Amino acid sequence: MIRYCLLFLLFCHSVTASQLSVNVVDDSGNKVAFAAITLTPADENTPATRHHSKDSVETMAQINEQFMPYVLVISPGTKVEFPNRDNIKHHVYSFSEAKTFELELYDDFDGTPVTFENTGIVEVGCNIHDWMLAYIYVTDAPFYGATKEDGMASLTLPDGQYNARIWHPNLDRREGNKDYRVMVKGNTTVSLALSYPLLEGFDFSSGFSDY
Amino acid sequence: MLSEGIPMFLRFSIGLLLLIKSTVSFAFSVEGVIRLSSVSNNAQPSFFDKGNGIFRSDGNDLLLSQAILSTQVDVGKSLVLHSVANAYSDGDKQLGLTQAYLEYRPLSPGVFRWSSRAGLFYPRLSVENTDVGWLANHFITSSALNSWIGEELRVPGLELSLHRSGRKAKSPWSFRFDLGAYKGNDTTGTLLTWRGFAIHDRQTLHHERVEFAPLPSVISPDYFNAPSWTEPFTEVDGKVGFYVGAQAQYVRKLDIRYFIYDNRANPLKVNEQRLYAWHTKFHSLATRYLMTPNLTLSLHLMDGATEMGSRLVYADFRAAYGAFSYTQGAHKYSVRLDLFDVKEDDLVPKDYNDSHGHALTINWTYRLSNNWQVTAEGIYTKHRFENRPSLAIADKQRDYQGQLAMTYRF
Repeated sequence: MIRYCLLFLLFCHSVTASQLSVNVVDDSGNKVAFAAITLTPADENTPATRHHSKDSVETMAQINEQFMPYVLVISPGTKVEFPNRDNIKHHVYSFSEAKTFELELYDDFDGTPVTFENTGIVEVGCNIHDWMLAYIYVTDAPFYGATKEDGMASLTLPDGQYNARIWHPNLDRREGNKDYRVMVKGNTTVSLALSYPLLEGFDFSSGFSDY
Repeated sequence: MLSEGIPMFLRFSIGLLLLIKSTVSFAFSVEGVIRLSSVSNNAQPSFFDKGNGIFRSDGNDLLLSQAILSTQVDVGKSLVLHSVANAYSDGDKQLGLTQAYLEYRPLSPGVFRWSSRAGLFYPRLSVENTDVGWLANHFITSSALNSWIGEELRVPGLELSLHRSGRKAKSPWSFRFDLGAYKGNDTTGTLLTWRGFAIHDRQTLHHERVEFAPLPSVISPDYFNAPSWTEPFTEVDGKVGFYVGAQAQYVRKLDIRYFIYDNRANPLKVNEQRLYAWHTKFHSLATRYLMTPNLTLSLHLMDGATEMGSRLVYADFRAAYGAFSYTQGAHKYSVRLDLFDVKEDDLVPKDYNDSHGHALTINWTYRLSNNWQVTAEGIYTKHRFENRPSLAIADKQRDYQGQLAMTYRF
């Protein structure tokens, strides 16, 4: 009986979700916002149970002629809705290999959610507001997240050893598929540093609107 | 001057559109502006009232200065019908359309994208009139050169555009090239020569007549025997005009536009209303620069010429303005300097076409909410029009205008 209780406790311990805070910086220590982070178990003892439901619906809204969020990380099979929170029309589209779609969205119209079946990077644009740009990163990794403007991402996952990878729209190719070893034991904070600076990005986020 | 019919019509129209919009929100979008203005100036009677003043009104006036419904309706795949309906309390007509066109804007996977417009629309040469319904963005009144564009230059025609997306090309620079072909701009140039530049915010409705002072040289059977009004979008000679434009944008902070316009009108033609064809052509160079997130600089230069008859009227015209606009929270402060000049070189010296002047405009706009804003605008302008003595008016005038406006947007 005691043995069963111990096994139960061990099981409870092994699936206890911990909070992982990831701080992504470039080679000079500058924070990196909007980086996708994926984590895959690095050993057999670390459970790979995906905690994201395939039935979940994620959101990429259009607010002030910008997509929110800029980078969205999802699992294959996830539905994404694209609500238009502006009072003007948006024409959301992608020609990416991983998913080709288009939605003509008037104000306050959520449209039909789009299902992203394949892994890969989906570049999303607006045919009316050419500067609007966002990325949907579809990954098989069981655990993932994206850094916010402060360069921090927060993930919930079981304790264990993980291989972490970073993707960013302006990532230098020389970064390759670099794996970062991350140990999670209780609430953990790690800092992941890129080897190179991000490629130059051009800020289309504000300024004149075309007409 | 406010007629009772217009507010009632507007209330009904807006209510109906909002009701439809709430029911079928995916089918179209509507934007609107309603502006009431209290205007006071010391100017000569306005050209709208067959006077020689260069403002929209004279003395003290209460105006429904803008009532705009701008709609976009999906009529097919990547095909949108745009229309801008306007109501005014002054002018020849009080209700009508200023723009109505189909836009075809297909998706493109590459960095280049084609698009086209067909109907009645403005070429994209103004960096000032980028607000809903071609309103000026930082002022109530448009600059002199854009006031003229709003009066006489609207192309009923076809435009083809090629756009290179900087965002897709991973470059800070985006480019656009426009080619337009049109008819119905043959009288364009009439107001520049027989009236001169003006400063106001009254766009000409389609099928509308614009009055100007009955100059003896214009109306006399011994001279041109023409009416003292023009209908700006009239076809006289059957010829097609064109414009070409190039636009470069650095991210969304610098915008440069260069256009060549030539209506290719046959200046020897006149129609049964005795409206002449004016061969009008010009170069236009405009830029706007977001110097800081709060400070915008705008510049626009225009240089051209217009001819009617076999050099019976020939005038070079030039106009320019420079403006700064500074936003601080809900407040926006703007200042603009206008220069305008028309110089004749023709065979009928007694038809006086020379005019020149300058204007200083100061604007304060306070945004009360997302829907409401209040604006105070002052204009000082000094100008000399050589046609005035023929109307027993001193050629040099110095005008002051104050305007207080309440604007509602939806």
